[in-house]
Amino acid sequence: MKTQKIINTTRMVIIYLFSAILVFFALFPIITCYIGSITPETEIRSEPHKPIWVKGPTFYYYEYIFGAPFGMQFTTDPYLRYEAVRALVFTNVNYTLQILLNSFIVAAGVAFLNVLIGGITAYSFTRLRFPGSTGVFTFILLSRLLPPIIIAVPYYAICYSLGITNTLLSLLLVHGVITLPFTIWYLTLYYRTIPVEIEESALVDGCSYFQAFRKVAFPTASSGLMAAGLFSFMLSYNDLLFAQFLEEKIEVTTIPLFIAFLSTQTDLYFAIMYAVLSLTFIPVILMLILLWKRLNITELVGALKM
Amino acid sequence: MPIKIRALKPQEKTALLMVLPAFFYIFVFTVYSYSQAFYLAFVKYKLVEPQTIGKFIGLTNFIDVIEATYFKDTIYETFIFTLMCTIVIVTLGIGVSILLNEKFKGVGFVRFIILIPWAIPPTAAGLVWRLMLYRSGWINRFGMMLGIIKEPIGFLGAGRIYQLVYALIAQMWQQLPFVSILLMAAHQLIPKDLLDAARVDGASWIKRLRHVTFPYIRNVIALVAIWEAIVAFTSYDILYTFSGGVWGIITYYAFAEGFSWMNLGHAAALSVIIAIFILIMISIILLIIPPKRIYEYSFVE
Repeated sequence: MKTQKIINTTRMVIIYLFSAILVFFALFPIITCYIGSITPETEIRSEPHKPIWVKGPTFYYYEYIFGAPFGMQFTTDPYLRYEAVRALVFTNVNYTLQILLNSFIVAAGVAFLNVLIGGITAYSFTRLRFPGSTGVFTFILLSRLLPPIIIAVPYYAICYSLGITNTLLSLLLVHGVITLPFTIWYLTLYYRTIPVEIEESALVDGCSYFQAFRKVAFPTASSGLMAAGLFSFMLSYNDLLFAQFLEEKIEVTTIPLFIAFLSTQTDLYFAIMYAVLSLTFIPVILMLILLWKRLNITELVGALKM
Repeated sequence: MPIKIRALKPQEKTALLMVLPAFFYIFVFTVYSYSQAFYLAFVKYKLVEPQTIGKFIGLTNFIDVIEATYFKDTIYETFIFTLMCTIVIVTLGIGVSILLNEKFKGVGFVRFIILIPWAIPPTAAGLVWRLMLYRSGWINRFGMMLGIIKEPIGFLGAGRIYQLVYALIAQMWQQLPFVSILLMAAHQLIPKDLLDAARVDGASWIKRLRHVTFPYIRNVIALVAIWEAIVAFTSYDILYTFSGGVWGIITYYAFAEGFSWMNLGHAAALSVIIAIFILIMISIILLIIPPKRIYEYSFVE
């Protein structure tokens, strides 16, 4: 009895130890961004014999990002102790809010497209079959596995000839293609968990197959559709590759592209980078919280029982 | 085998009509793009020489790309990176999934927290880890605060292979949650009574893992490993921001050839080379799970 207790205690200690390491590994980089964004630049750039916590926290860099589009003037960093070699003028940072909004518009459009088209398609695959649906379903799933870089070159040629490069529309269309296969797969699995009886009674009452879908199945599946929408939102919000060759102007830049751009600027303020990163995290973490309530692990199990 | 053609039932007609929009949408983009990419690989397509665009030049693009100065190194680095990522991420993923399948207070919280890096844009992940590894970055700062290291380490000044190892940390940070969650779901496939029986029979923890758990999740592990290999092989975003857009693996060069050096023919040739590698990995996936089983399982039984 006593040895059992000791074993249990050690087991718990090990479990909590490893959990703590995991949580630390997952959160530490994110927390450093938030710390970095409120630390004066001179503190960040100094040799690292200083402690990790913030000395003289400041919201100057956030003020800069939020204030600049509204015409607030910031020319030098008041926290630079020595004569400022670099002026804090990096005009593109002014566009941060606009860029966040762009990302949001594209991602929301992609989510809407996914819920609409994906919802219809997945229903057809789940409830109604037609000869050859296996082939179509497999084709749609596998189309996602080939790397997106292959689409890049021809897609650019198409957009260029249509004159829709540098628009958010071209980005939205291609994100739709790379997110749909996943949505269709997920929703196919999801519809399976909904009892079929209600739709059958709708059919008996004289609904056509499409009406049964539109009036009964679609509203019933709202939770799954929401999850699929959130997934595709995040996939679209995170994509760099397509944005990088489609959008050249700062007005139509999306967040990953902006971050990629910042990462190539060697003399940019770290604090500004941290502030932009910190702002980037907020929408995705909110989405994740919404998604977490709807993500059912047992649903995923179903997908794996093959 | 004679092909039977018959009129579709109303149900099938609706089914077909409902699939068509998505099918055409995806078909037009993928099949057209892939065939176009394949075609471009065999023609001259240099944006700076517009008069020669579209001239058929056979395998010249492939030969040019293979003979390019970066090719040998980048293939080597790509394979090293893919191999490291797959092994490290899958191994750690198995460990994490075992941990998070235990029942303890706060397990839901830990599961949620570890998912956060997965939701964050890969570009951000790359930049965050570069900022972490700077000479005045947070790892040095943290290490010196705890007294583990005396002098700050210049991680980012090390050689390319070291850089790939550091980039692997960023890739792992981003990918580990996904792998762990999938493997965690796989654990639920194991019949409960089988585990209990093994426990009653006095099998040790290691033995249970080896003889009960592993056979059940073996297929899922293989699938996840191939998926991770594909993700690592085509990794672009993380490496781009991690390196500050200066180096990357094969996808980086495919992009650079096309959109920085304006030679779409070379870019297409590199894409075809990438696609061949990926197709090999996909065929392995299809050997593990035949497509018919994926589809049938998605149905109401």
